[in-house]
Amino acid sequence: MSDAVIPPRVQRFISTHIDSIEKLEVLLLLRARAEREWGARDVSQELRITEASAAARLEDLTARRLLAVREGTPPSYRFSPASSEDAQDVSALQETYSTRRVSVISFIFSKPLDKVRGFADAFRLKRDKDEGHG
Amino acid sequence: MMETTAMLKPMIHGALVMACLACALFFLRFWRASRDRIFAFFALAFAVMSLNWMALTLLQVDDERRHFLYIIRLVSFLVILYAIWDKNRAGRGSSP
Amino acid sequence: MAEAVYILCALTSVACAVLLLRGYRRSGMRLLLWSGLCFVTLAISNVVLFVDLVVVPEDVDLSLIRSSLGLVGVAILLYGLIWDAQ
Repeated sequence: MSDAVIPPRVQRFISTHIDSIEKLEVLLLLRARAEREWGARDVSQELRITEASAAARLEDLTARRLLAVREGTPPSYRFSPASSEDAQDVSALQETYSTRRVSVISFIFSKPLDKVRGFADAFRLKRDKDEGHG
Repeated sequence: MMETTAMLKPMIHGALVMACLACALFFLRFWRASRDRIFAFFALAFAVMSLNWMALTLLQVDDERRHFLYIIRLVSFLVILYAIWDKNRAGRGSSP
Repeated sequence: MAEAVYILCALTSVACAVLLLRGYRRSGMRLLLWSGLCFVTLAISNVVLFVDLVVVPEDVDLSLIRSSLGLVGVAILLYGLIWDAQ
């Protein structure tokens, strides 16, 4: 139902990487202000979440190669996706989120993080093969 | 040394049969959860693989060329190839 | 004939390994790492199979190595399926 309004590439990105609104907000925040580096405290103040939560999200997103980390105490993070496809996916995600916030949120809650889907997706030879389809 | 080998082989084959079947069961579960055909194919492939190991032990041969046992292995890998091909066809029937 | 089958199986395993490990590099999902390693091991096991039956003389028996490699590979996959697949 609400799935139809979210483009397939965004659906795939969310299923692969995003399991909570918090993680989504952290990712989009760092992308919106990509010119600066963020620490866990900055993110927690900006989004009004606990610093521990912010740190956990930042680490997770870094492990997914969506952010780059500069080690230190405290470490600081910057939006830096490893592949251009990821960068495009996040742009599409930002656009979809700003126009269809409710749909994205319900999608996140209805499709739990699916490593199983990641397995199936690994066997797609071309990443954007289904861009032409609905 | 020969006896150790003779003892170990059936055990390793037995373990392989179970491990392949267990993997097949996992893939079956994923298929049920996601409705994505590729998991059904992988379940089949691993089930056939376990058949391969079972046959090797029961027939007590080491050479798969006997009794054309290598056909079993061929089937499981053909299933995997088909699964990959099926995944990449245009107008995919399985879930997004 | 059998020899061609083993080559085919080895190549298929390599293809699966490449796809899975590439997926792991992109997404960091551990399940893809374990299954990729499984197929690497299966590929090696198929190559050893080929070598055992075709290249190496009759009195050398690599069947124990073959089976052990196969077991290691499937065990790695099973580990990944149990721990890292939710």
